[in-house]
Amino acid sequence: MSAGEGSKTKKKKADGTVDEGSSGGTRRVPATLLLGAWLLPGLGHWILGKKKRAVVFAVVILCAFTTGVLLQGEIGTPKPQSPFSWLAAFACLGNGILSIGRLLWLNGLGGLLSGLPFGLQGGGSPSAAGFAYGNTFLYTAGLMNLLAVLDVSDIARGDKD
Amino acid sequence: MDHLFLMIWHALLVSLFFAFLWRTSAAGRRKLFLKTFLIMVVGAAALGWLMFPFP
Repeated sequence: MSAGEGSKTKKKKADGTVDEGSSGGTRRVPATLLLGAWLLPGLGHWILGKKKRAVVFAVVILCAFTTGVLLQGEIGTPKPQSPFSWLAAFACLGNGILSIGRLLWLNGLGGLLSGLPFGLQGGGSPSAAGFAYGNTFLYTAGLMNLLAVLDVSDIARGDKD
Repeated sequence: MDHLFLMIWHALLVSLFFAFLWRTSAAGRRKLFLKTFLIMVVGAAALGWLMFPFP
C-alpha cells in the first residue's frame, strides 16, 4: 500500500467503480493564503480566482461588522472568571483586520500589547439598546469569516470548486 | 432602533453568505438564499406569535 492510500476513503460503488471519497484533495494549503484569508475577508477567494464570491463575502462581513459597531456592540475580549468570554473573543477575532483595527482604535498599540489577555477594552456600551444585537452581528461576522477561511482551504486543496 | 429591521438585515446577510458559500450556480444560490431567508424571517415571526400567550 502506498503512503497516500491510507488517508483516503475509498468506496466501491454498485457499478464497480471506486469512489475516492470526499477527502480527495491532497495538496498542501499555504499558511500565508489562510492567514491572508483570515486577515482580510474575501482575500483568499480573490487570490484563488473566485472574485465574485470574494466580493460578496467581503461586503457581507464588512456590513455585519459595521452594523455591530454602530449598534454599540463590544469586541469580545477574554475576561477573568468568565470562560465564555474566550468564545466571544474567538468569534470576534475571526474578523481579522477589522477586529484587530477596532481593538487598536480603542486601546492603542501600547494598550493592546500590555493589555493581553485580560486588560483589553472591547468598546461598546452595555446600557445601549443595541448592545446585544451589536454583539450578535460582531460574532456572526467573525464566524462567517472563519467559515470563509475553511472554504478557501477546501478550494485550495481541490476538494471544492 | 427597529428590532424587525435588524432581524431582517441579519437574516439577509447570513442568507447571502451561505448561498455563496454552499452553491456555485446562480440558480442554486438564488434558491438557497430565498429558502434560508424566508425560514429565518417567517420562522422568527411565527415563533414570536407562538410565544405570545406565554408569560
